[in-house]
Amino acid sequence: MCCPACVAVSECILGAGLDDYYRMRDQQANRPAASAEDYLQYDSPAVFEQFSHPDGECWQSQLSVSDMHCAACAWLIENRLGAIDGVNAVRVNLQRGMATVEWCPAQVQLSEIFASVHQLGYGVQPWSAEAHLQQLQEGQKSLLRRLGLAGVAMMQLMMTAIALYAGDFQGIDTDIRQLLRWFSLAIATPVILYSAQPFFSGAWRGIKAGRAGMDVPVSIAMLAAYGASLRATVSGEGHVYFDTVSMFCFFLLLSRYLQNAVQLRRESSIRPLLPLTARKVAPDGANQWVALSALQDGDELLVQPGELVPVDGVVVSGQSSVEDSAFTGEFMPRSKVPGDTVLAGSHNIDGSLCLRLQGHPEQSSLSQIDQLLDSARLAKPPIAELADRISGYFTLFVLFCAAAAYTYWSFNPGHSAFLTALAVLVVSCPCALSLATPSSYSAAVSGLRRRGALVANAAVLENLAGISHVIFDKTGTLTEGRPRLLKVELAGELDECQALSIAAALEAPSSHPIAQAFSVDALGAAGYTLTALAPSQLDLQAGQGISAVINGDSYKIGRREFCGFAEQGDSDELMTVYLAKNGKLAARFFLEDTLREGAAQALAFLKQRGVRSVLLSGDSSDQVAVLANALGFDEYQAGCTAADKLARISSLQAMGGTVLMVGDGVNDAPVIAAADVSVAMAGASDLTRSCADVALLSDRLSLIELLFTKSAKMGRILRQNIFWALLYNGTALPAAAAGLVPPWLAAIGMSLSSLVVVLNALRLDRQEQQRSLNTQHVELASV
Amino acid sequence: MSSLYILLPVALVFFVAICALFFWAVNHRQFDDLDREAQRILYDDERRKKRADKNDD
Repeated sequence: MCCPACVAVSECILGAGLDDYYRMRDQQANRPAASAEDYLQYDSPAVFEQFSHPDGECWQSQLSVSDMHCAACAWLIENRLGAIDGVNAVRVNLQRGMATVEWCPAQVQLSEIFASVHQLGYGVQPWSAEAHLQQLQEGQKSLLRRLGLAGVAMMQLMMTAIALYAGDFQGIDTDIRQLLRWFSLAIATPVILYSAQPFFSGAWRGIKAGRAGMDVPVSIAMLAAYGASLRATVSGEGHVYFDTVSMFCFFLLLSRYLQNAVQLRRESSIRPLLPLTARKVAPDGANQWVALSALQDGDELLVQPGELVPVDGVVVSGQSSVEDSAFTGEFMPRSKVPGDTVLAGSHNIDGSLCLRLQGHPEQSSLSQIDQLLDSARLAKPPIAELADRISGYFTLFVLFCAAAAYTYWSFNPGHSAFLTALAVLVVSCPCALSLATPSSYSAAVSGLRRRGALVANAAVLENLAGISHVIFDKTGTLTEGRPRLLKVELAGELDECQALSIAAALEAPSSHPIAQAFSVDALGAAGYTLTALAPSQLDLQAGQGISAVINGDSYKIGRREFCGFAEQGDSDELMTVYLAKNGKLAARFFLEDTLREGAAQALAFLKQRGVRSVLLSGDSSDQVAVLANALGFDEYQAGCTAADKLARISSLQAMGGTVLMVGDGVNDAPVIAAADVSVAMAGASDLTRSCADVALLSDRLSLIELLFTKSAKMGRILRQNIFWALLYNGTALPAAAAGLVPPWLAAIGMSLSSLVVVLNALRLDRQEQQRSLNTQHVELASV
Repeated sequence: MSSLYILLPVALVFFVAICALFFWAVNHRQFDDLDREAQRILYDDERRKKRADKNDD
């Protein structure tokens, strides 16, 4: 992508294309089956083979499970399915909403497995990326409806609450008070009946699984506060807490909505990867479009220039340059001739290829890597789970305290037992504590999102604080992966402008990245004036060079061998382009990959922070050393394979280091999985982006600096929030249990304490917004 | 203060109306992709296509 406008256009097209696809799908959508009989269709081998692969006697099937919210859900499914005879292993990936089940057809039918998941109350379908995305979108929509209702209700209820509180102090007509209460009841009832449903169903699942998640205290507090308010309204005695109920519901839904939004965004950005159809070549030479799933091992396919290769295959005829940065991370296209293997997801650049399909079309290397990464990601320690568990224990503690207070005051005069117990529940509701983490995280995440960094899992922001080493990849990460002309060395009678004019004319028809360096635009921008030439007999040899005749002279441009010269041996061959006139050397062009903007600043920032920077590049040329010295890297290593990089990371980690990896290619994928925190560049392959902790949306390296400062700030605000929540709960709980806090004060205290936490967390986002507005003004002014 | 007996039910009607409007908007994909809609104004393909369709009729 050359500019933000191109990115906008391509996003627009992709977005529109996807959208149309889903509109079409809606008509034939597989809705989750309603009863166990409906799952019988999955028992047929022809059906389950589509989302399963054999593993000896057994099969591994991938199921898409919807409505999973927390680690408890994953635990429940794993245990329930694991208990079925014939199910060997179950792994649930909470982030992707995916369950991988290993089962033996001899002992169990797949329909039983489906029905078991269904019985637990989760939606289940065979795993398919589109169906999963659709499920996510539907879930997000229903969450938005609940959130909107709770928000509008909250605003209404706050108004009446203020009137009621004022009435408590100054006196209020009983009629008016009752009117306000009935009004509040009317508004709060849909909140409990509709908006709060996810918490109740989550709490119910948690109780069934024997683990009190965050949903349990939330549900009890909401139901108790609502119940007490209902009683007070009907009887005309006591206090109402309708505002508390709705505020609670709104803030909790909001944090859940924001988290889902990030997941949805990431999932939809990795979808439009492989085409769904391919051109199949019939024995008589004619070709026709067929669905990928209809292809068989050994079929021959035609791939035109500019197309993505849809399957893994062997070249039968034709030759072309193929760019497979999705696998190698190197943007330099490689020449492919008959007999070479081409992988699904690579980009065919300048010639037609006829491929023979190898293996199953939907089991390409790309999807296999995807599966491997899924299991790799399951191994990561879920720090968020710990936070959930701790607040679960806190919940039990609060419930215990409430029960104790109730019992104590039932036998001792002085305070109403029910009101005291309610005060304990409301005042010490883990609201502030449970909001402290997610609100800070989601504010930081949305702040970063605005600046162009997509954080996959918020725990990363915590890990960033302790980073000791940052490892960079070179091509595509520190550099743009697009060569540009550095200098021209003349050998014949041509002058610089003539040589470049000829080069531009010859390279014009090619879409190779090197040819782009000779485009009229690129050279014009570099300040060269070119004369337009009309070459004839143009012959484009993929991966080699181009020959043509201009004004009666024959020219060749391209590799040294192509132009027919002997080894010159003084510089990196790949980046030198030769021009021959009538078989004699006319000029040599030296190209350089452009360094990304902000690379030097990012490195300077890391140095200042005391973080060691390491450059590990797959490139074996001298350029690595030149670059490393110019940017002031602490160490560097050229010619690294993925295994070398992995070994380097392991040795750093063994010495107690915490490693941040910044990379782009799939060859970096295992490295990215091993690193403590990983960042994928915007130009990275979709696969790498989907497995990295942070995916950048623009290639500005200054975002690395932003990540560090943001995480430090988030750590600070998180600590403030937790400190405040603990301080508040620590003082309010005993006070309420002693009967010193009336429920209305408890409600105000609780609302204020969570408000303090949320407002404090919002500072993470708000300052960011102002700053980004300022930079926009500056950018506009400079235009 | 008796005006509250009229104003509060009116507020209730507004509450229902706003919620209904919001639900309608969500169900009609108004919130599906907030980023793309902001960019749509930059491209006039769709309008041109529609106009071309009209000319065909």
